[in-house]
Amino acid sequence: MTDIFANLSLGFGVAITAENLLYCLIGVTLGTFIGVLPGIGPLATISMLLPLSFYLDPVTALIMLSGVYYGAMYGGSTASILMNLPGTGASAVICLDGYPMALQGRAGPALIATALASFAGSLIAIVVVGLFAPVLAGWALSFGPVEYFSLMVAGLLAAVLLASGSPLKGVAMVFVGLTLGLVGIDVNTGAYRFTFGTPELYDGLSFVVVAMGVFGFGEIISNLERRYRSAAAQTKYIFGWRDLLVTRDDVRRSILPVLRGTAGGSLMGVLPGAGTTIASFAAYAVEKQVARDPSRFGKGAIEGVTAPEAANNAAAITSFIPTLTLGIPGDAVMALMLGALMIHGINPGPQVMTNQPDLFWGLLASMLIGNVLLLVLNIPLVGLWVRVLSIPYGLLYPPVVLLICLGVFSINNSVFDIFLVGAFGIFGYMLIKLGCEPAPMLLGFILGPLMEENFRRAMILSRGDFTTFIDSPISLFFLLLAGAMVIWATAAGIRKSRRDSAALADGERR
Amino acid sequence: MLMDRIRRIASSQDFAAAAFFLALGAVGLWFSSALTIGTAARMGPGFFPILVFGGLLLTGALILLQTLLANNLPKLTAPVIRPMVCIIGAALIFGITLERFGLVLSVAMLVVVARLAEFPIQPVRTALLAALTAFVSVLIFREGLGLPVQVWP
Repeated sequence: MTDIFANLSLGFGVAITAENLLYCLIGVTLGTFIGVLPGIGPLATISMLLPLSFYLDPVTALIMLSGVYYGAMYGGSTASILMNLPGTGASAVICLDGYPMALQGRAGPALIATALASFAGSLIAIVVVGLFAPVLAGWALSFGPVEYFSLMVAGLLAAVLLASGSPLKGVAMVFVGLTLGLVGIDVNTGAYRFTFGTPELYDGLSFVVVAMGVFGFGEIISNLERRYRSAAAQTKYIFGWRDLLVTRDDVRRSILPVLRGTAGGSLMGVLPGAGTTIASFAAYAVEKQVARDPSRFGKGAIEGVTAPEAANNAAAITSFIPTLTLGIPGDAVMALMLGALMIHGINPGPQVMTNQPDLFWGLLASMLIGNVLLLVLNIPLVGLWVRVLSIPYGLLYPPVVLLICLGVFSINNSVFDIFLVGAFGIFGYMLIKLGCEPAPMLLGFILGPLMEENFRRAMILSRGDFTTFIDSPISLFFLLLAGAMVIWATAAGIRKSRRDSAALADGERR
Repeated sequence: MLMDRIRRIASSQDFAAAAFFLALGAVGLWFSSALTIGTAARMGPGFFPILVFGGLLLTGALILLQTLLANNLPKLTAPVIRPMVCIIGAALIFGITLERFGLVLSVAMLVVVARLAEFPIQPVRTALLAALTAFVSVLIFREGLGLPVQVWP
């Protein structure tokens, strides 16, 4: 018990410094802002903040970047409720009952309820992280290169199979990411790999450039393309301020859903590949299943708003567990966090918890502070966020393009990086057209060099014997897990295609 | 019937994706041939790349197989050229002009070219946005962060 108190006081000591408080505020405010705005997501924003984070202390950088992430989970529901247009993917399901609530004049209670649900979900998740992360890290301290390699294989596979999109294409994208990670001078042998004589590539591709190009530019281009195809009518937002506060009935109805959502969301956050979006959709589905009167859903049921909100916030927070304790990112955002740490010379893994406890506990404490700040920010400032929604996208995206260009330029003061990010922008658009998810590629890119290193060390230790991966029980466990996931995914895929062809046959018959 | 099926497969997203993966794997293997592979115990720089590109070829082949057997494949939609050209073009122009013409002019050019992607070309809005963005970026990046770029040519 005293251990936890000691750690928490260390954490708060780190979090409550002027600098860390300031960057926490900047992070959560910026996060809410881009969460509210449809068209810019936390992933693109975090990748754009990465160059700035290089100048900061690693803890401060993490505090700011994570603030953007969970802050976006607060703001995302605003546009869902008011405009039936989600600000983040995780808030898409909030449209289903949030928008009807707004149409009934209950926009105020909906917005306040989501803020409260987000707070509750985050709070519980923070406790979960504080309790479980040290345990997990302690267990992982005994891992060697063999176990790490198998863990990374299992983690990557899980991230691909549990996330959306075709599993095979996802696996292929991981390999594409591994390919990108190969570029540069091989540290072990000094050989030039895939540099094609360009000195700027000797250090490898900067993950900031890849992330900003694929996610940043890719998102902008596809947003613009969407606006081409359908002249999106400027939807007027509904302002039903008939009653502003949540009623006691609302609160009573939401307690269990929030708890269920938080539980599910916390679990999803830890699993690689299952992220905030899946967490919120799953929470909605669960609530609809267990509701006494499921027909209320889709017409303004408060449970359909509060449970997913709690879930997506919980998932955002617990997704830090595998990243900080094992060094395994669960999704693209966590991959960026990992990259940010690696740039500061910190290789995340269980040693970080013991060697640099201030990093973990400081971050955790700051998340607590950040969520309080968000609650304070979001309830009175709802009017401000609503006005923010009236900024036309046409004025928003050119500055974003500029931020991307200047951002990559500032890494090395090199114009080459600007051309490179442009190239990755084209690449990102191509991936969207081919229906390939870029997130697995980013995961493979960030983990690739680490995987190669662990594989090489494992082979040196075993003198070239491949069976070392099944000799170690932990490694064998991870590989079996990976195998089980592949079998499950294939079976699910076969079942789905059988269902699809049956549906097609049905349709033709009719 | 067969021609129909072939046409459907060839115009599907997954087929194009498989083609991309196979091409990348093949090209990668070709470029890796210059690297020494070594043995498992003493891995050369080419060892891991061979594994990676091999994996790429394998998954690409599996996806191709899937497209031959599957029934409803998402179609490949034509890329819309204008947004991509304007956005990437804006970035390229910025890169080319930044050091020669200074921050203000290159930012202005970036905004103007990027705005060309918007449908009704609104010259006044664009000009105002360009000026404002240039001004703010000098404040933030030059004064605030001390980026080593000239403001004017």
